[in-house]
Amino acid sequence: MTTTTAAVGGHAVSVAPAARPKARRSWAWLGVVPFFAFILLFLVVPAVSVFSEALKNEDGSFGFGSMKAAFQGQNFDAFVFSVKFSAGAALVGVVVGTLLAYAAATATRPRWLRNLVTSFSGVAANLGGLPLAFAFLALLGRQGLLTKILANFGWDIYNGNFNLGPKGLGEVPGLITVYSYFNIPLMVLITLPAIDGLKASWREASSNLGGTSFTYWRRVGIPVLTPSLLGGFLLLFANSFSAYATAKILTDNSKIVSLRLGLFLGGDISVGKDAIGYSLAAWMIIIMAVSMGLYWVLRKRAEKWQT
Amino acid sequence: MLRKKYLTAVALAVGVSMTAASCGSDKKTESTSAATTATTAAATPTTAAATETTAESTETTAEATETTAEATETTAEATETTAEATETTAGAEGGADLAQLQADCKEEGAVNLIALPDEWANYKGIIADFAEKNPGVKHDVANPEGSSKDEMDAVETLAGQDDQPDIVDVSPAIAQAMVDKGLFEPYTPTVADEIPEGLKDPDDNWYAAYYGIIAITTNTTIVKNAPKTFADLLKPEYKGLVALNGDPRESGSAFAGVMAASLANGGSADDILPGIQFFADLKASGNLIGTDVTKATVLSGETPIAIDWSYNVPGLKSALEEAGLTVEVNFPSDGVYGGFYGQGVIKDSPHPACGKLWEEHILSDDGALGYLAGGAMPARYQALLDKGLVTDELKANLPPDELIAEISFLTPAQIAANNETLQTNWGPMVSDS
Repeated sequence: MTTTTAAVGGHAVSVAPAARPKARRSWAWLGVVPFFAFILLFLVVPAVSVFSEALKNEDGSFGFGSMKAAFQGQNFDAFVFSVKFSAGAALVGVVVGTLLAYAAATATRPRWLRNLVTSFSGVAANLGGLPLAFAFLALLGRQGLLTKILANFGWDIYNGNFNLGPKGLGEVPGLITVYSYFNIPLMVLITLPAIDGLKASWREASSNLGGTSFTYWRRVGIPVLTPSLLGGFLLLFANSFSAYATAKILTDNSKIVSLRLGLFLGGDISVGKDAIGYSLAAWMIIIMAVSMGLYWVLRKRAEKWQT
Repeated sequence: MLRKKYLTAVALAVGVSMTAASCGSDKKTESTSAATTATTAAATPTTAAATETTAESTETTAEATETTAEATETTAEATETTAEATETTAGAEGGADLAQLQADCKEEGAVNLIALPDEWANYKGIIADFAEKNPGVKHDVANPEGSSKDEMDAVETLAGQDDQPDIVDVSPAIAQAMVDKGLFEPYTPTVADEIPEGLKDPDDNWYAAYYGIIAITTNTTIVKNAPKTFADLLKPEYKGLVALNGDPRESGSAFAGVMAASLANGGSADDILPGIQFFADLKASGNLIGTDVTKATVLSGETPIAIDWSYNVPGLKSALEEAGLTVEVNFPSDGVYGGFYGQGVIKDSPHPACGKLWEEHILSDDGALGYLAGGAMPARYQALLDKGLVTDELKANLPPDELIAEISFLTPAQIAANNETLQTNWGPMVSDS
C-alpha cells in the first residue's frame, strides 16, 4: 500500500486521495480481527453457553426454573453475602490503595520509592490464587512460621484471647486481609496516573482563592478523582467477587458464590443440578454487568461535572 | 499388527507351541519377541486366576509376575499354566477373552484413565503394575485430582474424541447417574462371581473394585494423644485441629465422614442429621477447621487430625517419613461407614479393549493386592483370604476384622436422600454458621 501511494503521489494528486480510502476500507478492519475474535471466543461464546445451560427447568426443558432456584433461599443468601464481602474487600483496597498511591506520587524522596512501589504493585497485583493462599498459610496458618514465632512469645493467634477466630484465615476478616494483598497493589496501579493528573496549579489556584486543604480536596481533588476511584472500586469488586482459588484453599464458607458453584457443578455427590450451578454463574455475570453499567452511568455524570 | 494379534491368540489356545510360534515366525528383533512372550506370559496367570485355580497354580502366578524379566523361566512356567487354561478355553470363553483383550489392548496402544490420584488407594502401584504387564500401552491419568462429576463430564464432553476416558472410577451417586444416562458399556469381568452384592451394578454397568472405611488420621508429631473415636474428637484438647476431607455436599469422602459421624451419634443409613449436628458441635467448639485435607495440608501439618478414607494414608507414607512426621490411623469403632467407588467401561470409548483390560487388572489378584497395599479393601477380599494371599503385613493397614464385618453400604436412594438433607442443613448448621 505504501509503495503504491509513493509511486502515485508524485504526478497524480487527484488519484491518490481516491485510492487511499479505498485501500483503507478494505484492509483496516484486519487490525481489529484479533480483538473481536478474542471477545467472541473468550467472552461471548462462554457467556452464551452459560446462559443456554442456565435457562433450564429441573427436568431439562427450557425455562427460568433454575435461574429462580439459584436466586432463592441459601443461594440468595450467598449472593447477599458475596456482594457485601466483595464490596468490603474492594473498599479496603480503594482506601488503602489510594492513600498509598498518593503517598508514592507526592513523595519527592527518596527518588527510587515511586519506582519501587509501582514495580512491586505490578507484581503483587498479579500474585493471587493458590500461591498467595499458600504463602499466607505458610506464614499465618495453624502451623505457619509467624504463628509459631508469636506462640513462642506467648501469643497464640488461634486460641489466645486475641485470635483470628476458629477458621483463622477462612473468616471474613482473614479473607479480606488476604484479598487486600492483590487488591491494594491493583488500586495503586489504577490510581497513580489519575493522581499524577492532579495538577499542582489547581492546588495553587485553590489556595490563592483562600481555600484550605480541605476545600481543595472537597471541591477539586476528590471530584476529579471520582471516576477513577469508582472505576477502581468496581474493578476490585469484580476481582474479589470472582476470586476462586484463594478462597477455595482458605475457607469452607459456601456463601462465597464462586465456591458455591462447585457444589452443583463438581463433586461426587450432586447429580442433575448443573443448571443451578450455571444459573449461579449467570447471575454472577448479570451482577457484574449491572455494576459495570452503573459504573458507566456514574462515570458519565462525573465527567460531565468535571468539564 | 493383525498378524501378531492372530498369532498371540493362537499361541494361547495351543499352549505349548506358543513360544515357538511368536519367536519363530515374526521378523522382529529378539528383544521384541522376548517382550511379546513376557506379555503373553503375564496374561496367563491372570487367566489362571480367573478360572477356579488350585493353590499350586496360584503360587505359579505369583512367581510368574515376579520373574517376567527372565524370559526363559517365565516361558517354562507359562507353558504349565496354559496347559491348564486350555481346558477351560474349550468350554467357557473367560480365559481366551483375557488373552484376546490383552492382545487387542496392545494394538490399541493406550488406556485413558482419569481422576486416579497416586496416593489414593495405592493407584500409583496399581498403575505401575499394569504398565509392567502391558508394556507399550500408554496409561496417562487425566485430571488426577478430579471429582466423580468431573469424570462424568469428561466422558460426555469428550465423546468421540481420542482422549475420552475408557474407564472411570466414580462414586455410587455418579455411577448411578451414568447408568441412567447410558454411558457405560455393560461388561462382566471374569471374576464377577467373587464380588459381593452391593458392590456391583445388577446390569453389569459397573463393579466396585475396592472400598474403604472412614478413619481418623492423626499427625502425632503435632498431636501427641491421637483421638480414637468420633466422641474423642469433641474433647477441648483438639481445638482447631480437626479437618474433614472436603465439603460433604461435594466430596464423597467428606460425605462418608458425616455419615460415619451420624452412625456414631445415633443416626442410621437413612438419617444423616445427627452427623451434621456432630460437625456443628465440632465447629461451635472450635475443633473443626474449614480446610480441606490434601497431601499438602497433611504434610504441612495444617490439618493435624483428618477424617478421611483410611486408604488415603498409606500412599503418603514415604512423603510423611521424608518430612519427619509420624501419623497414627484409628478406625473409629463408634462410626463404621464403608464406601466404594465403582469402575465401569465407557460405551464407544477410544480404547474399548484397554478399558476392559484395566477393569480386569484392578479386579485381578494382583490388582486387589495393590489396593490392599494401599489400605483399601478389595471387593474380592474374601477370595484373597481363601487363597491365603492376605499377609499379616498387608493386614496392618486394614481395619480390624470385627469392624470389617460391620461394613454395609448405602443404596443410591439413601445417598440421594441424605444428600438432600445435607444440601439444606450443612450450610446453615456448619460451613456458613
